[in-house]
Amino acid sequence: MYNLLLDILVEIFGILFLVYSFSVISFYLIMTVLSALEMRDHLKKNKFADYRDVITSPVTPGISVIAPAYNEGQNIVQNAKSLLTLHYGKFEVIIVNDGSKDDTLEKMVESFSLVKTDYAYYKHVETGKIRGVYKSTNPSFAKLTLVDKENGGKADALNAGINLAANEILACIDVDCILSSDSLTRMVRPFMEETNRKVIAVGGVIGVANNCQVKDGTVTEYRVPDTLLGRFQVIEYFRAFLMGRMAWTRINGLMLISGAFGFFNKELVLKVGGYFPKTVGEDMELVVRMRRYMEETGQKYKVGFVPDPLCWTEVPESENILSKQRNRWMRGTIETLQLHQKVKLNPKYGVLGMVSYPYWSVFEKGGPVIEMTGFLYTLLMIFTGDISALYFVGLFCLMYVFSVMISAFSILFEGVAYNNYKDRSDLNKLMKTVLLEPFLIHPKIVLWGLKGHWHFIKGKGGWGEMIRTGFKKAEDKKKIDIPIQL
Amino acid sequence: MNELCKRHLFKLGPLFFFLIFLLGNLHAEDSLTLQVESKLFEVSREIPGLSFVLEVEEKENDLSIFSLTKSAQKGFWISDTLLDFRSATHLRDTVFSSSGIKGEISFLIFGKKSEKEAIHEFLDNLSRNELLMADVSSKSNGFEEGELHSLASKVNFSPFYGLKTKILVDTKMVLLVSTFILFLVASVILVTIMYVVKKRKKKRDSLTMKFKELSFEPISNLLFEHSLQELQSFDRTKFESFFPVDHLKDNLFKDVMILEIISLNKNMKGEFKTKLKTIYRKLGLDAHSIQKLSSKKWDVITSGIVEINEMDVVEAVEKVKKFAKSENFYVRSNAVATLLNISNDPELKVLVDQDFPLSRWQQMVYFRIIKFINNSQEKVKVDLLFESKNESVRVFGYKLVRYLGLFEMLEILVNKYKNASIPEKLEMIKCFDAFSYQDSLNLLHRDLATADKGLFLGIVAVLKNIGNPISEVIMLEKLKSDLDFESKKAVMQALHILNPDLLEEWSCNAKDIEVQQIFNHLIDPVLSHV
Repeated sequence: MYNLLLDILVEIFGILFLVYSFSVISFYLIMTVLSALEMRDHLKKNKFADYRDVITSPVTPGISVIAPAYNEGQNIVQNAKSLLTLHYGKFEVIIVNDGSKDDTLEKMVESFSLVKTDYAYYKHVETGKIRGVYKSTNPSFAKLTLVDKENGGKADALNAGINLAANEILACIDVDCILSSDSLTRMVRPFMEETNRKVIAVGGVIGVANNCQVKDGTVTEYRVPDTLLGRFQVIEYFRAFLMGRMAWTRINGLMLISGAFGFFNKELVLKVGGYFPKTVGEDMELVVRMRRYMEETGQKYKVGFVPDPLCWTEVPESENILSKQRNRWMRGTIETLQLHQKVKLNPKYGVLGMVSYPYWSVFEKGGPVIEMTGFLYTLLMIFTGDISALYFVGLFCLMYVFSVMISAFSILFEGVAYNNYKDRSDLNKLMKTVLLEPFLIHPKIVLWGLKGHWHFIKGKGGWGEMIRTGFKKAEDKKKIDIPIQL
Repeated sequence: MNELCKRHLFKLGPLFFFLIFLLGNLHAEDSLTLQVESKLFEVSREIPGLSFVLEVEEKENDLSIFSLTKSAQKGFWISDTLLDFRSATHLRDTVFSSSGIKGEISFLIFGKKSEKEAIHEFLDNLSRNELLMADVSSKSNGFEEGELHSLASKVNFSPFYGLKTKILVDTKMVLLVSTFILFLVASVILVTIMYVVKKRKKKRDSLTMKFKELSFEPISNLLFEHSLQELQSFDRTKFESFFPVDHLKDNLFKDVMILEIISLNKNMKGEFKTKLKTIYRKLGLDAHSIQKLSSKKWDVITSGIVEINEMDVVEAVEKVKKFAKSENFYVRSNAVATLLNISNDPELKVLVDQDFPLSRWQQMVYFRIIKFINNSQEKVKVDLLFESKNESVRVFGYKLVRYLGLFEMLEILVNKYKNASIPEKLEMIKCFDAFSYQDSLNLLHRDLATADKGLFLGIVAVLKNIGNPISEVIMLEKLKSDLDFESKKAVMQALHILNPDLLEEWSCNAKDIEVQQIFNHLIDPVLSHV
């Protein structure tokens, strides 16, 4: 009797895993086609865009660049200067010092002749205590505002910046990111082009800066990182940005805009209450909340994406730091999906409810759990001798070849669209990484994802507690992970 | 055979068949018993729920020595429940050999006594569901092991389940194979397409580079070594003689030449522009640009329109007109821009007739063109835009008043203000602000009562610059009402500019913390410059 039950379970699990594999393959293939179409259209449209007018035209919207900083004393002055020299007409730069324990504030005050002011502003969004708002006595830095506040995490710091922002578009960035000088002119285009729908947010591509040559705030020569982990992230970023997000943009289903480089409609951000500070996935959560608002109020909208290389960041090349990052990403995803369960398979929310949310639930959130279950299932089958060698080898080969194919395709995709990595040896290294990734890196990513699930269940960084993450670089450098009770 | 004999045979016929049937039945029953028993010898222990009991009918002798117990039914002895059929038969045989009494073995399925037929069915069911493997041992088939080996060596081996059969009967395997095929086919197609695209792009890029080199020198020579009159006197053949003849009919070469000419045209002034246009036309490149308008691809059409625009191909205006209301944003935007630029239409009719809302991007492009026309050619009649049915066009018209410094239009704006929509009013008041138009004050004072926050803030911003004492009084009254922070700040900023003493006096008496914060902000010397 029990044998029969076990047999049925084994059979059901086997079919479920197969259906999952089939769905993964189908989704990725569809995404590949969609992203290719979107990229083709983007490149064609780009031919007819003259960005010279954007800088000087009185028609262009103003942008408030908000950059939170936590323990960034080493590079803050250089980063702020770089932001102030962006090529754009109407913009301001708001640096939010999120209770840094180092000399971030002092360096800023000294370098930009900043003084504490009686700046009166309205707290549209509740934030941690603001210790002071600084402006420069030097008119050359009139565009710069420094907000000094008590530590409250990235989302809280961004909210403080949003409260002070004067322009209609918010550019929320990581202060340590390298921005191309024309990044604002290019990112503002989707906001300016749309006629029938409101553009609520626009995301950009984040490039991997490790090992690249940077001159005047722009990457001038692309090189792949030396480490396998670094190279893996180059490929991963290709897959995520050039393929994944492009495909979602095609069907207006984009749910995530990177917190390191995202542009938002300020009016709408204020309407939905700014960033939610109790989640570590504040970037994704804000986009989902904005989309929900638009769907619920029946307004036509669009979340745009600009695939041009405009922003670069250094990615972690140590396993310890990367594992923390992935753990955080997973928790952020779970938290966002939990918060917005109402959207799940709800036709009222259109693509968001019927496609994006289920995709994220099954493949992004559920991926590590399903993969691990599949792995344990296979082990059990091998142990009991109840496995069909043909089936096992077939499925294994399928998934391996598939993952290699998708990654290789993403490299090819980058080559066709931008061809930034021109050195053949770099491409060879990337291809080698593609072949090794499924064995050497993917299992770790699955484990880190599972750890994220576990930490979420335990409440670490979840609803009851919040991790004062500071910011990626700073946190990663300091390797701090201090949970505090709210 | 005689008649009598035949008659007897016909009478006995049915009897004969009946006997045969009985014999068959007996044989079937017998064979059933044998089959069941022989099967049970092998597998009885492996069958869950099957057990046996020996029943012996004996009224006189005591059979307890065989571990039999007296049954409740008089004269019957029964054994314990036995799980093994072999043990049951062994016990039966022992009793028989010792006492000469032959017992009967009863079959129990899950403790319930059953007939042999039921047992047979039960065993069959188990076999059908593969819960009981059919015995294929050499013994049951009557083969000895050695014989089987010798037989196997003579017969070619063929597995019972072929690979093909195994794949086809396994649902999971079918799914796996179809997934694999789907994936392989799709990915091969995708990679092939991408590879082809990459190759073509690479080829196109290298050809473009080559053509650039080939066309740059002749164009430069024509531009700098020949006067405009000379160029105008050359015929097409003469022009073509400067260029590589083999490539002149190549569309890509023509495209590259056009791009080169347009690029030079953007960076040059005066006579050089005319020379470039002459080269463009004499080489027949205008026909190539116009030809692109017939394409089905939006990007080809758009590039044709852009070329017509850049090189002022006026004769193509009619053809471009049909794209001014295209569904495609890029085609439409560039067509309108081209018509504004080359159709000599100071009335901006093409804009007035636009059905689609104007995006900011379009407004930015159109403003550049209109500004150029207004400054260098003929004064544009912006006021006609105010009559458009399209609100975004009217709003753009009001913006143009401000951007182009059309002070004379302000009177029209004042007249239109009353019936204008909020977005229009917002642009109009910006115009009043830009020109410090005092005549608009009455309208603005009246509209300060608006419920629209955006409009209120806009009016306050204008009053900050052009307000009068009446404005001060109205705003002070507003300040005393329940204003939100943003509005309060805007009003206080305006009052601070118009009458700082009045604001100071009022602020000092106000008990509102926000008022104090805003006042401190306004008097902060650092912030006053920001």
